[in-house]
Amino acid sequence: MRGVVTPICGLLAVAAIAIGALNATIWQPSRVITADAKVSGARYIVTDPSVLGLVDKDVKVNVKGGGDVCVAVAASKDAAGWLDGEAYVRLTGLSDWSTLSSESVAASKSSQQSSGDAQSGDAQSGQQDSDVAFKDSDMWRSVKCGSGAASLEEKAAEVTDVVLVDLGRKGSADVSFTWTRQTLPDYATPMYFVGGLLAVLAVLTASVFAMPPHKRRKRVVESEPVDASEEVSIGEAVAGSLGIKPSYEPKSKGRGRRRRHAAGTDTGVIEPVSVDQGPVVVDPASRNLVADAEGATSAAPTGVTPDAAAPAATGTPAGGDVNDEATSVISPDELQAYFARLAQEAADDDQEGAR
Amino acid sequence: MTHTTANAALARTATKVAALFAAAGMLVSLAACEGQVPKTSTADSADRTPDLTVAQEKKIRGSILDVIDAANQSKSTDGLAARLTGPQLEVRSSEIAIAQATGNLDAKATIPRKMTQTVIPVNDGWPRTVYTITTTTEDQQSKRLLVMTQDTARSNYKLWGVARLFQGAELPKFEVPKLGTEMGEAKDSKLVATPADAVDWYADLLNNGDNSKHKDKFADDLFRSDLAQLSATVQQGMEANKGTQEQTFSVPKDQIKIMRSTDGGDLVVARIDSEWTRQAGEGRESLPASDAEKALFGDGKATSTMKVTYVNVIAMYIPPAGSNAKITAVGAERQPVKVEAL
Repeated sequence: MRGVVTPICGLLAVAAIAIGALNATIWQPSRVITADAKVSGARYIVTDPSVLGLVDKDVKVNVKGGGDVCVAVAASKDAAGWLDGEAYVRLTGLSDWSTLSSESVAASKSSQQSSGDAQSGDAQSGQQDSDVAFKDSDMWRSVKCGSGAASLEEKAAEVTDVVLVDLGRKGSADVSFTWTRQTLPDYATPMYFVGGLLAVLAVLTASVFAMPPHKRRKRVVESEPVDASEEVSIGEAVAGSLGIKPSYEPKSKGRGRRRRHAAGTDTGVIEPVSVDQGPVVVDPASRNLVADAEGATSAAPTGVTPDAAAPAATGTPAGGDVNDEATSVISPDELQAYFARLAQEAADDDQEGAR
Repeated sequence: MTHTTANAALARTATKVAALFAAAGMLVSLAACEGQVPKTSTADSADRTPDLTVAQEKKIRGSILDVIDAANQSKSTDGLAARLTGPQLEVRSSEIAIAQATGNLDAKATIPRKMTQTVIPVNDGWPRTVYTITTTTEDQQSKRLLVMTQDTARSNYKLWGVARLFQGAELPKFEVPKLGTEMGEAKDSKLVATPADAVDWYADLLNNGDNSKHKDKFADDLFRSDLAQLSATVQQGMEANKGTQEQTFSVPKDQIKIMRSTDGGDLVVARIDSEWTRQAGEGRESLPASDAEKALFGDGKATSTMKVTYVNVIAMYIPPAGSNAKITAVGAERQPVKVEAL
């Protein structure tokens, strides 16, 4: 647990925070989004409702075309009224961050006005004398015209507003929308959050989760006063999992770094309490010492898989037999169950670490 | 190594590789991304939006008044048709023709540039109608009710009619321009009378005066009382020389604009044409009855009979059905457009 999961969690935490930092700096999403579309075969180009303000309300529309180009912002129903009986190209949205998707719409025959005229020859012949020029219509919220190109800026596009482009004559054109984003998507904060969670997880796997269940239980049962300096602090646990030599050296001295990852480490930490500071107090009323001693010696070697048991065995100090007996309240059955669980955890760790 | 352990080891390696790829994929997707490409909202809101913003209405009104001002200045009717239509085109043409003869534009032809209220439609189709009520004029004439219409999507708003509101006339309340107002229909039966009927009845009332059977459906108004007074005066003069006079009112087809108020009633503006025929007795000539008629008649040769064609624009409020209120005229305009000796 401590040897595999903690470093992986730590590494992932560092990676998440690093990616978060990168997202806040060099990978920051671009503030200006430009998308364009090349359209041809129609005189009019119109956006679908909500395309204008798709990325941000602040948008600039550029159109390059052959004739006298006009760009107008209009309510969608007004644009529909103007386009009644005409063929046009619809801009339906963003297909990716730099391309506008488009769709051609054929002239509808349900036109109220002389649709027959409008479809024969060029669009000009369909216009009636009373018709106003595109740029003079009252319906547009704003309109900009130019020869060959026109651009229009809109600061507060409404959902129902659309952009209507008149190319002057049937032809091809290049339409581009440039949005300036007021608020950028924030990917850094969630990454920092994930990094923080992983760091906490790393600390927990190094300390609480790495403790054998009976240790945790014992602390509750006996509530024996323990010297605070001999507890594995979170800092030490993190430092240990990161491979940094802790400032605190265990009093059991000179067992090498490997011991810190051993399952029996905690036993080692508690060791000085019993060995150096007098006799072990055992309550004979609650325990069968003989059975315990037998159980401890016989169960340990048999129920252990080689790789998991090795550190536990070597980690037990030479003079710790008495101590182990004194602190152990585990029965052989429980011990066996524990080792089975340990093996299970080791297998889980492999999967978890890889994730 | 047994078969099962080899399999397990293989499976574990496969899992590890998959996890590695997944982790790598996640990192790549997080790196240098712009986020998800936004999608257009397909759910088209059922809310009906007003056809114009207040700013657009102001701009339209401004360009209409620019055209009128230009015509007033040059005393020429050229170009009026670009922004004027319906009764107002005839009324304004007549006013300018009179100004050409007299040198002065009638004070009642003034239209203030500032407005106090505008009523903007929400209807999707065409024609569309906008009502705008101006402020009082600088010389404290009453407010003007401007009726602007857009006949098709490809045409612009034109000033269709102007009614001078009566002093103290109470107009119904309308939705604020931001919400927009529903346009009414000529056959709307949810009123004490359909707008088309109400206009017909009002014309009948003008024709028959107190003898009209629709008299009790209408409240008294300034237009009718003034007209009755004028008619009585002329009648007196005509009787003195054994002449006759007759005024007939008729309602032209489809010359009616309707907007629905918040209480369910309609404010209707309609055109009513009238012809005033005066026949002098005892071999006398029938002469124009006013300065305006005189200016329009010009140097024409007077005969015993004179026929004057008037254009009248009447604004009236029709209360919703079930209401005890009467149909009330709230404003009107009346202008001679043609004077001829028969």
